[in-house]
Amino acid sequence: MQRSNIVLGIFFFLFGLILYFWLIPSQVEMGEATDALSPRFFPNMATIGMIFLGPLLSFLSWRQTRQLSTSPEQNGKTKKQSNQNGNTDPLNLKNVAYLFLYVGVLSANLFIISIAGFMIGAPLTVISFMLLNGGKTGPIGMVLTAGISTAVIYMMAWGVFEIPLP
Amino acid sequence: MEQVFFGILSAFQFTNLLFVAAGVAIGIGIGAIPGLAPPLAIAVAIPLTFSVSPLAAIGMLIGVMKGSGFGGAISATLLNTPGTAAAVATTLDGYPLAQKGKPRKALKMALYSSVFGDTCSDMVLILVSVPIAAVALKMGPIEIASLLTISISLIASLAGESVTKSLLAAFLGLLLTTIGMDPETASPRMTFDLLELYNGLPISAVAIGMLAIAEVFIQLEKSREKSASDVLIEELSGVENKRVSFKEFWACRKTLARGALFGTGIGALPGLGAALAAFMSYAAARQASDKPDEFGTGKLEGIAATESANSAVVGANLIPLLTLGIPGNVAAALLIGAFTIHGIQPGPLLFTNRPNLVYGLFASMIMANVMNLTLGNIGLRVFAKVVSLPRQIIYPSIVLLCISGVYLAEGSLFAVGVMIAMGVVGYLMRKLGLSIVCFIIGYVLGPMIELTYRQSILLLRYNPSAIFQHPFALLMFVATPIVIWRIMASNKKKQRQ
Repeated sequence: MQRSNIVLGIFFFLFGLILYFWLIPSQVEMGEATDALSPRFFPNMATIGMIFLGPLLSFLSWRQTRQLSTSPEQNGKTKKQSNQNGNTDPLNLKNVAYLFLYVGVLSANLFIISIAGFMIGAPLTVISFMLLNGGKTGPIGMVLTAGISTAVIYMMAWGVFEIPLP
Repeated sequence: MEQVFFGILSAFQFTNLLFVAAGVAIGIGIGAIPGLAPPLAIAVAIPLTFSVSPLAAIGMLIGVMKGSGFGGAISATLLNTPGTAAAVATTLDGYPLAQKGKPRKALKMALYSSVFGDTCSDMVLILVSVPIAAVALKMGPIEIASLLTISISLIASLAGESVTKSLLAAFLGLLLTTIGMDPETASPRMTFDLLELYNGLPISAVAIGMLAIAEVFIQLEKSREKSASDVLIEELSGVENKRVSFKEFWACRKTLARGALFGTGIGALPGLGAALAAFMSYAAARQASDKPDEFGTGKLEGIAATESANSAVVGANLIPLLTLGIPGNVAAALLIGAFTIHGIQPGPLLFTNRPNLVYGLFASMIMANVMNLTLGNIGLRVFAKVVSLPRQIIYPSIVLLCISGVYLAEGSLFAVGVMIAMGVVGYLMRKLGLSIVCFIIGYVLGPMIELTYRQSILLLRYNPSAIFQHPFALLMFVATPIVIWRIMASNKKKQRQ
């Protein structure tokens, strides 16, 4: 985790610099009121916080990495603590690839909903996520779950809230 | 006084009671699903409240908060998998007792303790909120800005694994709130010429994306690694194994009271959380017990200690929220969002402008406790079944619920797109150990912080030395870096040990 923290700190530093010198000046228009505080004031404040804290995170993590490498006993203790805290798997290439898959499936389903409507897109969303989950319920279970959940939500939207779904 | 009676009476209207009951049922159901925390239950329930009165809406969401507190104990007791972080300590004695063939006894003790803790903290809230609000009314924008600064710093210092990372998450949340129109000059900020962004990122999309969608991604990842194991518990026959007698409950009175005290105290301070209260109460109960070795083997006192403490946090969390407009945790932050959606600004003025709503809310809270007890008792078997539903059914349904919830709330598919994007951000933040709590609190408090800072700068006439005329604000501003430094030093000391 310490190494990823070093990278994270650098990322926030660079992200802050991009925001401060490019994105905020180009995307935040200056207001006409002369006595008012600049619209860039608050975004700049948040960005300066990141520019300051990013390198601090990297430095503290780098220092901790050095301390851990000189003390193997402490290293073991930290790893044990990390496991006890119930941290999820670390971010690796495989997980990122799967994340792209999930987001792709979700976006594709959203596109289908926008084109073909909720009644067609929603069951496909449920079925695709059941497949991503292993699809252990079988085809009948999938169709039933997709049909029932879509129907319940559709009826609630129309019957209770009187809001049309796409 | 008339307003107070009117408020209490309106809380007892059938519609309000129905919504509170629905909230409690939803809370217990969602809280019982492993990994789905109370904030997620609230985020999912917010769109359901759009078409009802503010009292019924907030009453329902408070019902969700209370119900999910007990719901978390169901999976903790039956599957050794806490539904919420606050219920982690409940697994210590709840699960061993269930394994002994007494799952219903364990669940009933958790329910009674939860309702006891909840009621105690509600009483404290009712008694102290008015005096606190009276003091808060005397505070100006400068004092409120200083209080918000120290609160967010305190939350950031205590919530995450690292103070620096938590502060970074809070700054990220603050930055995202600046998307949209500038509150003073109405200039567009970081809108990329997209009309949908002129009103900022919709809070429902941000909250549901960060909490629910990110959780679904994490659960999908877990389902790839291993299949969820269902634990079968064989229940012993005999009434004594299925219920908690009054004698047994009375024997835990000191532990229950201590737990409620810990929960109320910790809940009233922003950022400390129910999990801390539960563990502190458990440790204190063990220390005070004549038989400390029995803790962890299925002792009723262990369940009483943790559940009374983590539930007491719920009511106490509303003390800073209602009196100062400061949320103590993510669930309270989402409640602020719900208040705003219904055109209500939580804070000291609420007590003078909408006393009927405040007292109606207090009455709804007490009713929610009664409903929690009743529904919990009646539906114990049904709610326990939620735990055994296959993940393959639960998580796809949640995805659909999130999509339709955000669409119903915002009326545009763009907001659903924002939800997906925030889901990715939430997933990455969790992977990198950045605190989602701090991000959400930063995002929710952002507009208020910006407004009070702007007002303060104008009031001080751009002269920093004028702060000396505001001793309270000065004290808070000076205390902020000291508090952060002290907590960082304390964390470092703990790591060395």
